[in-house]
Amino acid sequence: MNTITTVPLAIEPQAAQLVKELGMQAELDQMLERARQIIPGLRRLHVLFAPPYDTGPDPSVVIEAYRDAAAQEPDDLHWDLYSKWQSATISPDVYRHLTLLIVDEINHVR
Amino acid sequence: MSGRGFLDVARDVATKATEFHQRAAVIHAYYGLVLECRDALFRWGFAMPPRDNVHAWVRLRLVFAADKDLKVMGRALDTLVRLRNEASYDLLSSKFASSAPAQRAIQDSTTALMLLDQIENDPTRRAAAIASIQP
Repeated sequence: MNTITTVPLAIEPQAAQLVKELGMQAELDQMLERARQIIPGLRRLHVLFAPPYDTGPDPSVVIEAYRDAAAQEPDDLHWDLYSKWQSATISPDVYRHLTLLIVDEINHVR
Repeated sequence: MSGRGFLDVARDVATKATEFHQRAAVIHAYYGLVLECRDALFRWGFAMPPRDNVHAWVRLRLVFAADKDLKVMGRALDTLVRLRNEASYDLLSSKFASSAPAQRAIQDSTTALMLLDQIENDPTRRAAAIASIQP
């Protein structure tokens, strides 16, 4: 299990502003904390602003969870765990604005 | 005409080396999957509210389904839509100078479509998947 102090977190100012405007700081914090707890090999978390293109009606925030690719299990069980937690905890209305993506990194540490 | 035809176009343009072709491959790989998923949802009896955005509507139906394979498809769409937006709009991105993003997008779309086909071709499996989707 990862701990808060060992996983660097970077939040783009525009993303932070949108989260504040949406009043979703608590939900963002929940998602970040859950990612830290569940994703093995987590290296860093990056919270990005995503502009409102034609593929969605709203601007949104994407949490990129960078993971050591070697930590991925064949069935990606930890992603499945995270996904189930998310469906049970985060509403679709929140998810439209806050999305977590796991990014596998191979031998690349910043 | 089925949406997956765009995946063939993606494979075709991915063989060309220019960044434009690599971006086009990503875009077509995304559309191949999202259109197939949209049409499957329609076949399964789900109707999109008139004011909804089709991309978001399809993604949310799959991500919030209880069925594991539908969730995997939703995850693929979550990843591909971001890449598609970058390919279509962010002309400053240097990511598409490499063929890796296009190859990954084609692979992800292909894998997700295989899951969709497995669900579609098994009536019991399909009924369970449909029942797991939130309206």
